[in-house]
Amino acid sequence: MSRKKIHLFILLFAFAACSWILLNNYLIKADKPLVNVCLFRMVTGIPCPSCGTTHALISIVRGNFRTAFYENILGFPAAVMLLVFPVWIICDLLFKRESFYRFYRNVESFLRKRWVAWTALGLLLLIWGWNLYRYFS
Amino acid sequence: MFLMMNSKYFEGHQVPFIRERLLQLDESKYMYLQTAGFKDPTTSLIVSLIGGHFGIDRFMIGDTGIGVAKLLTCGGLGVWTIIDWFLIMGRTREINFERLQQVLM
Repeated sequence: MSRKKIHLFILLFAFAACSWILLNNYLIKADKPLVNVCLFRMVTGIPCPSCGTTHALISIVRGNFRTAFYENILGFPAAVMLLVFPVWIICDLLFKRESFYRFYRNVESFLRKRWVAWTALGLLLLIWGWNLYRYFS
Repeated sequence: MFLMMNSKYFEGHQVPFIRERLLQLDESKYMYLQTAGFKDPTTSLIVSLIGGHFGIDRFMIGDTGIGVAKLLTCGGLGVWTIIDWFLIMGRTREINFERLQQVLM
């Protein structure tokens, strides 16, 4: 993908994610039921690896890191990415640099290495297993 | 011959351009073309239907960054998964074209 497309995609994505978190935060505050949007959960009844990330992100925003840790650990990398990437892109656009694009490309090629991909998959399965264990116990 | 066998990997409007470039191509580069490893759009559609929720389709065609985003958000809150069922074939052809251009350069 071209640099422009990646920038636009990540900015829109971050905007959508923040809107989603704010909406859910409002729903939790108003004691209204949350919407289940996970197709995997709807079909199988089992939560997918990233189910609970919204709750974890809301807990992080409120400062309850411990709760977030038990809701879904993946909330932490997601929060860091949501905070850092848009700011980085805007700085790049302001100062006409390409540092984020180069970083994105490097990460992509790093993740394509076989051992990295397998390790990431193993970690993800481990996190999923732990989440499922807590969900069913 | 190459086009006859591989035209399904590319968009229809790209085929005349590819033909032009192939005609000008050096014989020695044909070997590289055979090993370029193009992805089949139909396979990516099937993968998208089955594993699109986890971003496996995006990982498969080489959009690793987007795959991670899709994986971390329950397939883009379920909406993105469905949108990708329609977009993934076009994107696969686009990536094949980019790969071909890298070989031809």
